Amino acid sequence: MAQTPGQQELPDAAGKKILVASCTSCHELTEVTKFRGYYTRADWNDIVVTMVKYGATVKEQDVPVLVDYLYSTLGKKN
Amino acid sequence: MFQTSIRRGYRVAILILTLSPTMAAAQVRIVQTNSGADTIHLIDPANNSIAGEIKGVPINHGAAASPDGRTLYFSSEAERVLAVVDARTLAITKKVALTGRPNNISIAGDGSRVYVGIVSEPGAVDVIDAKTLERVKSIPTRGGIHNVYVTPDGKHVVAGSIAGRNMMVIDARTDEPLWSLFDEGVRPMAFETDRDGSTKRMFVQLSDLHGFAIVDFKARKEVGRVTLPEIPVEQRDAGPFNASPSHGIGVTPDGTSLWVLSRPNGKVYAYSLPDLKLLGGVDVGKRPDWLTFTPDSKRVYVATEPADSVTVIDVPTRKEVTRVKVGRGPKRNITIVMK
Repeated sequence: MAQTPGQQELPDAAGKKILVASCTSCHELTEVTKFRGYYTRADWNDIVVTMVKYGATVKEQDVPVLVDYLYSTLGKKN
Repeated sequence: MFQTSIRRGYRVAILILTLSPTMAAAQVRIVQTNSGADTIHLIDPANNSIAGEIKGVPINHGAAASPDGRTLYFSSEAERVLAVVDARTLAITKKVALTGRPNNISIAGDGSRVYVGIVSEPGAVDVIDAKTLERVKSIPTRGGIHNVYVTPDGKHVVAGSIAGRNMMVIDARTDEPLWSLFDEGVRPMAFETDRDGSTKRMFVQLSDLHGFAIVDFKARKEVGRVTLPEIPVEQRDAGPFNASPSHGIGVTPDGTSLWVLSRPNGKVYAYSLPDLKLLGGVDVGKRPDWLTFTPDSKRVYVATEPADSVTVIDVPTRKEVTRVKVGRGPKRNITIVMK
């Protein structure tokens, strides 16, 4: 299956599956990858919490997995 | 004959001297944010070319301008600041720290305060004093704020929350909430005024609604909904649309029509005011996000995010004029008059 814009640049991991399943029904992944390099772990947690409030379906136990994935692949490193 | 020419010459010179300070000083610009970049573009509507570029506001979201057009304000989602920009030099003069991740912004009619919607939970409207450029207050809200507006008469601040599923109307003098409406995610809004300048109706886009709700502002209640036209399925964009199939709405400055964007249809639709009769639709390109008008109500500028461009439409004829290439992911835009 063809990957949507933004998917190719992300490494495969459990967090990616959650990201693709939970976010791409509403957004292109470029809406996520555009934040590359700007956010701390707390910032990514804020984004995920906000999106869950918006109605994104992320299981409670998947939230830290997704936040860790976003931070490790797109997070602010210094 | 010669004397007549001299007199004509004097008259022309006097006319130029009389008009030139205003004409030379007043410049209209379309300010186009680029949500996927750190740049913002200024478009000259006289020739639809890029007249300037502001740099250094990463993942910019909201835009506002002082009444004299000399100071511009932008929210940065990446840096969680309100960036203040000198409109003449296009240099950033200050970045004001916010209480959370910002979305859209608005400014008081007298330019004294800038209101910033904070989308981070629990949500707030941060208030920035435009003179001191300090955050002077943070108004609590029920959920993160996506868009915030000051009503045309300057008396109210209206904040819409997607997560909190409500629209909160705040007294601009006291910063106290007055009333709220909806149990749905609240998206962009537009305002229709009465003859005395007070707010008559609001047109409100909502999550998953391909259209808009009509709010009687004085009665504080929703009085109807308008659904945008459907087009054949094979012509429709399948999305995704950020759960907002209709995003971007505005009343022309002359108050005669309402323009509403459709993401699945890739069109802008015009409705007459006050009767809300559909006048027609115009193709603008995929997934339009926001629109703004020239002060004379003759042109509307529609940001189309995937194309990195702005589609210019002639309002009276509802025909496309041109498309202007801008930065990555153009979304919010505003019109400024630099005096």
